[in-house]
Amino acid sequence: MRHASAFVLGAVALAACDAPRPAQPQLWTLFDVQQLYADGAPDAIATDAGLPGGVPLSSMLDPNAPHTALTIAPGWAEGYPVGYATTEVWTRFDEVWAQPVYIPVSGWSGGMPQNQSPKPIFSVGPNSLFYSPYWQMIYVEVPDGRAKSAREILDGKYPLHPSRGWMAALTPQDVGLGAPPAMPTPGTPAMGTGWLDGASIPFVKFPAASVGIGADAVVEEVPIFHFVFVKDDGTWAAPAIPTVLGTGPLYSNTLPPTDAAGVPTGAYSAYWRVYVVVVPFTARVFAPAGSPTAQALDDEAVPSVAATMYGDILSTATEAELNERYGRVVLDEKCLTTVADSKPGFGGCRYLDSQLAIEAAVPKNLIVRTDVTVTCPLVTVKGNPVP
Amino acid sequence: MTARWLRPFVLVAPLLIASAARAQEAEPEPINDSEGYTPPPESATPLSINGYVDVGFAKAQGDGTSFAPDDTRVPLDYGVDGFAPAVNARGDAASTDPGPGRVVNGFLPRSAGIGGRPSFLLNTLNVDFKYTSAAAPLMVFSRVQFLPRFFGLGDGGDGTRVVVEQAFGRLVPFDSQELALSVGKFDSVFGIEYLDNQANIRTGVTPSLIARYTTGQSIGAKLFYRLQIAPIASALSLNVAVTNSGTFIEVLQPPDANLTGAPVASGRLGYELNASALQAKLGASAMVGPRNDQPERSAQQRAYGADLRIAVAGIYLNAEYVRVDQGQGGPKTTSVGTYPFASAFWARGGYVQLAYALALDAGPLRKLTLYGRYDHRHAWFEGYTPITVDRITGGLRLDLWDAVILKGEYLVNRELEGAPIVDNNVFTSSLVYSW
Repeated sequence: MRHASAFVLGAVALAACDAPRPAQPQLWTLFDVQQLYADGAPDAIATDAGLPGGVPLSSMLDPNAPHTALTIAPGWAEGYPVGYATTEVWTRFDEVWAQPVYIPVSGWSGGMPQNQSPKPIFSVGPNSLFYSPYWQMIYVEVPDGRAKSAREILDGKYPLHPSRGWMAALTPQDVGLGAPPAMPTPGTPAMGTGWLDGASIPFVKFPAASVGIGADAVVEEVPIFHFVFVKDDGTWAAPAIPTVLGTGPLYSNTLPPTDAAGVPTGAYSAYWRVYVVVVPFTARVFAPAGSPTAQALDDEAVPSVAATMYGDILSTATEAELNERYGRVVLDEKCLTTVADSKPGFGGCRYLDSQLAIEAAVPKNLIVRTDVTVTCPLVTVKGNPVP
Repeated sequence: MTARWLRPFVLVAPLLIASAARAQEAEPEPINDSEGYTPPPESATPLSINGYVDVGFAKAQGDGTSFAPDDTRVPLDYGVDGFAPAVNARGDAASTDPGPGRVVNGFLPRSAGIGGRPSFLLNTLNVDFKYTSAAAPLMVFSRVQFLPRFFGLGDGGDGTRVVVEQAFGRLVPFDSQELALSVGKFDSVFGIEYLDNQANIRTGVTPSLIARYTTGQSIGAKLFYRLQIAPIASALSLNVAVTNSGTFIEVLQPPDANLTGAPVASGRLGYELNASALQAKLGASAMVGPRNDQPERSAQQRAYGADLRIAVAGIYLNAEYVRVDQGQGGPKTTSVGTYPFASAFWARGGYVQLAYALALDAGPLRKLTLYGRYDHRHAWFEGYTPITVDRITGGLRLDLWDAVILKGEYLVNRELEGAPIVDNNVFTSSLVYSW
């Protein structure tokens, strides 16, 4: 008896010794970000998953628009400037899954849905770790308004017509886009309201975003590259300069989604795996003094990575031409002599502004996979709304 | 389909009613009245070997699962009750196969692998070894079970397992006190349904819808104490345990290793009334500690329950309620695999079971028991659609000689809210040979 008691007490005492805890998978939606703002929480999330500094809240919801407008961040896609929103951030998710969304239609004719309802019926809400804004669209022949939940759809045994993937982020009531473009296109993001378990739920959809759905409903991920610089003390700094959007798995030479003229379209993936790219020591950022990019470098205490040679570019370039260059990482700044020579894609400068360029110029061991994945649908291409 | 399987019971019911008056004079033994596994009193030899064979025959509706054919939500098992189409005393479902392209996250029972096809099953071959020391107040007990299974037509192959369900030593240090300390792998101490885990003891065939939370075995230490209050024919009992995995069944939380490094505490405080005409037992149970299907100690689980048993004039009423709260944990590990996350989870549920046992002396027939049970369960995973289901179970049990039990029952599973309605009713039966 005495021995048995000692055994029990010993087991409990040993259990009290704490052990290292593995980090948990986490998901932040726009609901979470708005709440973090309201709580006055730290200004970044996903800070412990390999991306220096994490993901700033301000990169998701504009801090100047009472946390209700999506932030449009700059990036490069095949060298072209693009703008994208960030609606979800995951850490330590090996995969995320597409969930079914049901689109009521009045009928089905010639392989096409008829009278599509504007109120989709979502199946999983944003509080679940299994939530994602990637949906397997399923047209359902049911009178609009009769069904408001996945259960009602399934119980009704209505005809179902599975269709393509679709990206729509569920949002809080007051969150949406900033000022809409003057000339909306079919790919322009739009806000709407759908149903989730019988309750109304707002959403913002990104029609141009491509959603690849693989086996077991796993959403295909594509790399997005964030630049980091090695500071004098050996730590990494990740200044807020434009990222580079990839086209497919690393070293896969996947062709970008382009139109007939070879210009990138908005049909990039919206689901990205963040890779950090440790910028080669000799590379520099186009960040003349006084520019927003120079300020970003100062903020991260890496002003020395700004280019110092600009030739006559600063005195002859138009504002648009400068904007086209701010934040680009150039392998050798000696090419920054004239506007013509430094023109991205045409001049003699090698910029790290595409997946192909990064893979060609940066050693493999300096392209580092993080545990951060993000939803970043394109909103603009070359300053214009996605087509 | 339903009517055909129910027909034998409809035919038997009038006979039972007609003989009810005679039954009032009978003094049947309690169907199940033990504090967990309580080996028989001192036997002639220090080593005894007992056991049973449980042979079943079952037929489930549909494909044997609770999954709706067109449901493609991820994970599929969060939006339905995969435990509903149970076919045996272990709670194995007729099937848990989600089909191609559909994803589950480890909230499922073991599968009998029969789908919607009628099939014979060898549910359990159970062998108990018990050794009672002559030199010490020590009893050593082990229960080994052979579970022949087939994975199902989709996956194919043999899924037979050998399970050491119990293995413990029990010390009773004081002759004058009902105090016992057990260390090893033993039954749950939560509620009352664990008393019915074994097919040769359980009144019916299948466990309740809340059995998954309260009836699991685990490894650790257990202390039982009972204080008799003879003047009022009563007793108070306390049964407490610290274990690896608490009281969830093994398929949900593996009992054989502690994944968090911290134990789970559980216990039941009980009151018994043992009058000659009426036996009643009341209990309150609790369980608290880290959930053992993931590695995070901070992912706590708590369960509270209340139970009631009344036996009077051949009528047995069992009722139990349980409330379960689980926090979110890290990557999920169960006895059947690993999954992305251990989602936060909540459940409230209970059952009421009424049985009428009629003692007989008609050839080999010793006892005839008619029983019914109503289950209700409301549960939800964080961020997922809450579901409410219930189940109505009716069955008949025949005790032949002292060694054979024949049971048959029909389970009507209903999806009341949240979960899509599916055909998942079950007819199941069990023939148990004991030695």
